[in-house]
Amino acid sequence: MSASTNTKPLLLLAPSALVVMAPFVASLVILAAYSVDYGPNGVGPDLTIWRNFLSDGYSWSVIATSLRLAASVTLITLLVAYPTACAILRIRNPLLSAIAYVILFSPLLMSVVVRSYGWLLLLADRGFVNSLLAASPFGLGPYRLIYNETGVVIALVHILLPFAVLPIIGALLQIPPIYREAAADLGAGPAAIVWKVTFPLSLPGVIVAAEIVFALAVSAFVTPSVLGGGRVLVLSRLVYENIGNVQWGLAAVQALILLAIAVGALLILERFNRSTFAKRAG
Amino acid sequence: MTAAGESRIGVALLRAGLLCVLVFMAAPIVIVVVNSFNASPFNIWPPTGLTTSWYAKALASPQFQRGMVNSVIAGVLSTALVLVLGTPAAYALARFHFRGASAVRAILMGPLVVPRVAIGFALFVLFIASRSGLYGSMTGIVLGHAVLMLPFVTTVLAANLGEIDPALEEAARDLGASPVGAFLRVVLPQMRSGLIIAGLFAFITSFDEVETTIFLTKPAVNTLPIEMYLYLDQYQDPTIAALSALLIGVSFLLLGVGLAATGRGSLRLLLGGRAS
Repeated sequence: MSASTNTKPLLLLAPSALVVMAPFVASLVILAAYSVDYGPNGVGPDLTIWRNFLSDGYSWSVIATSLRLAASVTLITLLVAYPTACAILRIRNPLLSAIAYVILFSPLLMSVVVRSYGWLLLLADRGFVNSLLAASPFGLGPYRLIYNETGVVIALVHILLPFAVLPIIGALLQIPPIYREAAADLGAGPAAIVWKVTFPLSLPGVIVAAEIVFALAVSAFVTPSVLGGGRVLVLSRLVYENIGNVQWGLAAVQALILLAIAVGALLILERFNRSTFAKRAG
Repeated sequence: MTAAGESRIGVALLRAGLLCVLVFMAAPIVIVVVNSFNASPFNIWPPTGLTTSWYAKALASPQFQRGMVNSVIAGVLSTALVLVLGTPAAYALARFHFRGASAVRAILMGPLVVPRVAIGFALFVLFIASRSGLYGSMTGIVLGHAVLMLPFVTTVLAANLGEIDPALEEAARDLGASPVGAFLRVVLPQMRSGLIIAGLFAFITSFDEVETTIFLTKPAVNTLPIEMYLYLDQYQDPTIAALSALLIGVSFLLLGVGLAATGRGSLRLLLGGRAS
């Protein structure tokens, strides 16, 4: 009995395991091998590439840029996404609600290249935003908004916002309205209800949002390239450049560091998630 | 209803904030469409004049034509592959409790955690090291896209299967249907909305993919977003805006088809897919 219950699911999983998961796992193993100079022409295993990369100040400045970008994008995106999710759930009119959902989520259907190009147009020196600022009564600008981190952050917040709003909406929908009513009956004001009831209960959704946004922001490639104009150097950009320079071992090290940052951030946020759950249970 | 403790100022602020966010979300898309008619080759705002010549230029470009064909081929093949592989995998995860299920789930979800650039470079190294000839081939690109999409497709399909009552399938079995027959004739028709959503998302992801694809491609198999990215690296004239505007039109067409085909279930499935 237990044999048959185990073989059936394994048979069902076998096709995807063989065609997709096996190459995926194998590719990561080979990546690790290349990083210790174990490639076809390598002499490894040795840690020279790792040592050289990690002892170079330039590498650390690129890592710092990647982390700084991802952290600020995550923070800004969450600060915008949370009230957006609250506001969109409150729309009573079905037509307005549908319009808001379409405007918010339809950018997901469009290529990141298209969206980054749109921001390039908006933020250019003689683009829409600067012409608007110049025409304003204060005659501001022009400001340099592209080919620096400002433009990259703005465009990434735009691209990642839908990914953050979705899990927060999911978490807010799971809170029974009766909790808020009970808090109101017990004399809590509107601010107290949001801060002491709604927000803590929606925290798991916020953490999922942070996980998704940080992971996508730290590994973004197109947006930093298009809006950074080669002047905003991030890890993903280095990986791409080093494959052209046939520095595959170095590219492997950089790809693995990128992976380590993504996994590390995920583990930290998951731990935070569990500790908030534990606090609530205790 | 406002009795549940809400100040009027708070509500007004929330509405104004949402309006700002919606303007922010729409702005780059609107500007791309407007700029596609801008006569200025340097995208100067406000437009120096109106023209449709960028559309003619975009449609006549051999790179973009070839990219379009390659993107459709890659999108259709990888979507088909990932649905065929993902359906049995999702069934296994949704209907069976078995030893190692959590390990399988972890590997299955792996590509969501690994940055796409790392997946792209890792597959590039694998394709080169295995001397398989997959580097720079359509097969290699389809495989790469399948790696990226499988986690999402199995999650959506498993959530979909979770909503389907297993009793119906058991009834079909009791009435003499084979396991495969019961699945094909009872379960599969009920998976319609899940398959449509998973399929649409797989196709769109494949159609938009740059960060993994750029490591696997050679000029002959370049997909459209790759060609657009490489074009943007050198020129920024409104040709790319015209092409983008056309793609935006297609996206909205797909969105309309998707919503019409699945109705109200689509958002719930997406939410379920993300939450689990």
